[in-house]
Amino acid sequence: MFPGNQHRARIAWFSPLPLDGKHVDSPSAWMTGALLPELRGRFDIELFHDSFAELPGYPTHHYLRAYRRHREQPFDFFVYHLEDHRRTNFARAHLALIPGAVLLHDFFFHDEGPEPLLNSPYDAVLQHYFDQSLSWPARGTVHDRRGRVALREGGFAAVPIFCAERNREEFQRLVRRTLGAGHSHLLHYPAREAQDSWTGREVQRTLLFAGSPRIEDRAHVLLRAISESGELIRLRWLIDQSERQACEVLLKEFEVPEVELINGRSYGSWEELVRSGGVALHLHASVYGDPGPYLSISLMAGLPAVVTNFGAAEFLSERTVYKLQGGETEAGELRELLRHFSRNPRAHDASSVRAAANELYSRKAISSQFAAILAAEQPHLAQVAGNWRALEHAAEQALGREVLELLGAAGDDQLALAQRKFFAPALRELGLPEDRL
Amino acid sequence: MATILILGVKVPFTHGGQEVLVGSLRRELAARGHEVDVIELPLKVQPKESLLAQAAIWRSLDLSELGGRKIDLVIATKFPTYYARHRFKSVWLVHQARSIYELYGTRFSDISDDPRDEAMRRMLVEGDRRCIGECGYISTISANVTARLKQFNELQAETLYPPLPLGSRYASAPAEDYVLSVGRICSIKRVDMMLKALPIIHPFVKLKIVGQPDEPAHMQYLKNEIDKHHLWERVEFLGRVSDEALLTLYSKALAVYYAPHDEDYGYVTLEAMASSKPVITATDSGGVLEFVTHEQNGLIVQPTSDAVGHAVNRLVENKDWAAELGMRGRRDIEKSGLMESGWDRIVERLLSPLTAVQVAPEQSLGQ
Repeated sequence: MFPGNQHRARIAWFSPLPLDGKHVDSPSAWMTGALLPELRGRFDIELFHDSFAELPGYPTHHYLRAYRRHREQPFDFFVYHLEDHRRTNFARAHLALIPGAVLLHDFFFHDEGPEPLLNSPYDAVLQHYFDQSLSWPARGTVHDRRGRVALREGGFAAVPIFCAERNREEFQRLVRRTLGAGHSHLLHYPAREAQDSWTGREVQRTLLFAGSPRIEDRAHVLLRAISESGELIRLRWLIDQSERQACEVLLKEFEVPEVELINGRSYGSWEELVRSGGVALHLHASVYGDPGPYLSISLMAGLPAVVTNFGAAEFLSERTVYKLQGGETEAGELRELLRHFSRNPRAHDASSVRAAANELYSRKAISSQFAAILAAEQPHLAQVAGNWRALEHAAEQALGREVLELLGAAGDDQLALAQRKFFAPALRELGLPEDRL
Repeated sequence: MATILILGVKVPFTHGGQEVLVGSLRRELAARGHEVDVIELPLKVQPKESLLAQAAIWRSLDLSELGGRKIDLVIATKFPTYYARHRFKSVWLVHQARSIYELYGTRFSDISDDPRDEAMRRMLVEGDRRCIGECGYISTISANVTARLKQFNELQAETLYPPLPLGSRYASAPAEDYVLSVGRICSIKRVDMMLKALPIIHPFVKLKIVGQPDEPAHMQYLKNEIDKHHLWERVEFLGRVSDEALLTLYSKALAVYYAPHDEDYGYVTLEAMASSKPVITATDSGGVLEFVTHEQNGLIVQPTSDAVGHAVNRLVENKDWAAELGMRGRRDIEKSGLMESGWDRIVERLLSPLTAVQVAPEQSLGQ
């Protein structure tokens, strides 16, 4: 519902589903699970994803049924969640079929996407969208896909929404041709208000870490800092079972004694972990990825959160996080920071962090922001939808020409005319434009 | 008795489950006194737009009367045969145009996000819904295909599992040291996954492959893999074989590898089980999983060469257990009724539009 408008807006929501309860480790599924209960009061939401499963309480469909549902009962908004992970490949494909708002959880991808998208004529399609006098690209053309930046996805995002400022900046820098109106939005990851009894009066000598043993998550830096700190520090490390062996190798290398390896990395598990308090370490330093919901959860709990000042973390405010500069001095800086927390139990003001986080990350705040984005972009989306229908009609016309040629029915000679007459009823029934027949 | 046309498609120079099914159905209808013939048109999938053209071709056929014979009933099997018009039409659906449905977005589909491709995809989805929906009786060959039809086209169908093509002739013999692969040689059947597993499998185990390649390029790719891993002594391509030879190959195999991506049904699964051989398949093999239960009558593994290789080694190193899995598979197939019977019910259902009996979907065979 929008003010002054009795129509309850309908959203087609494309996302992996939070079917695993607390074991969600997909930022899309996390955001879906967090926002839908808040949004369902304002919108009619139908879910689309790439299996036959259903999320209780919501009409759920296979994503290839979306256009049919749209025809039966039109949606006002299409919302796509996009991650650097194959679980959102279906959204990555469909956002180019019916444009809408795209939540780009990532802007850099480890792989170039589902196979057919390797030869996506996206740039030609966008050019055609803006200038319908252009010809369609010839079939069989090899289309250039420049690296692993989401140029295609950014281009088709009629409303681009980012969860990390860095990605937003890169989009503005790199994407030249887009269905968007020339601006983008930032939406933080929502998290629950902390309900624990940890008051932050004392920063414990406990470190909480959910990184992998891979180099970009800086576990080796953390372990070195702990072993050099000379402090009695306990590390609680949330891992995936498949990483256990690699983690144990690292622990042995750095001789860190007080460590608890906890299986089952997920946002829900992290939520439980932060309840007991500690220093949260979000040291991920890479072009790919960002701390994601883990950081929101830590800050909502009022924990001191340490990040490495690289990539997405460069854009975080130093009022809310402790930043390491990274590089040669990284381990040393972290070591000193850990000593500081250990020796100054009241160094961290948990309540002010929590208050600031509540403004930024509460589910109510994020869902209100999201609804406001949709309301503000509604006119632009409606215009894009209209233009897109014109593009679709042009595509049908082009397809009609191709099919008639295949059937020998495209020319003006007697045989072609006879063929066209013969096949016209079937082609009409299949939905080819009348003027082609 | 009725005059019936079975509608099929043919990819020239290939032979697979579709041909077996059509041949079996024709035989069974004729055995029950019906006048039956098969109409097959060649299936072209390139260029992509051919899919729509072929749907139009079938839709334009008038099959009500041919050569002075009134056709009482047509039975459609595969895309795009169900586009044909007839007053009395049944469908026993093998599969639709998979590239626009469950294979869309995978490496097995060439349908891109080009708006022309999307326009075609939508037209065909709508066309399928209408043309299958107008059938007097709708059935599919497996629960997997039934689920797809429901999810993608909102059509209810009954599952009628095709009985085994060679009936009760399957037999078992002491296992020799080879894994058998049967089926068309193409990327979706993932014969390469088994081939690439060989380097980690005990070196005395061979791989025998029955079937012909859909495309020469894929065969070349497999041969390159054989060269790369020096597997010339361990891999045997047998091409098409006679029924007798196939029965013998099944009977003596250590195990049967059948791990295609999201298979519709998979005769091979049942043939392996009927021959008392364990099946090695994958977690995403679709219809195969309607029959194989992990560590009960086969092994279901992640779709990787490593996982397949380790599965084979488990069977090699525990041959008694492998035999036990195979025997359980045989018992499962005997219980399912798919070895001996099943055709009476299938024929009765497929002919139901003629009797104007409203047949509600029931518990499917073999479950």
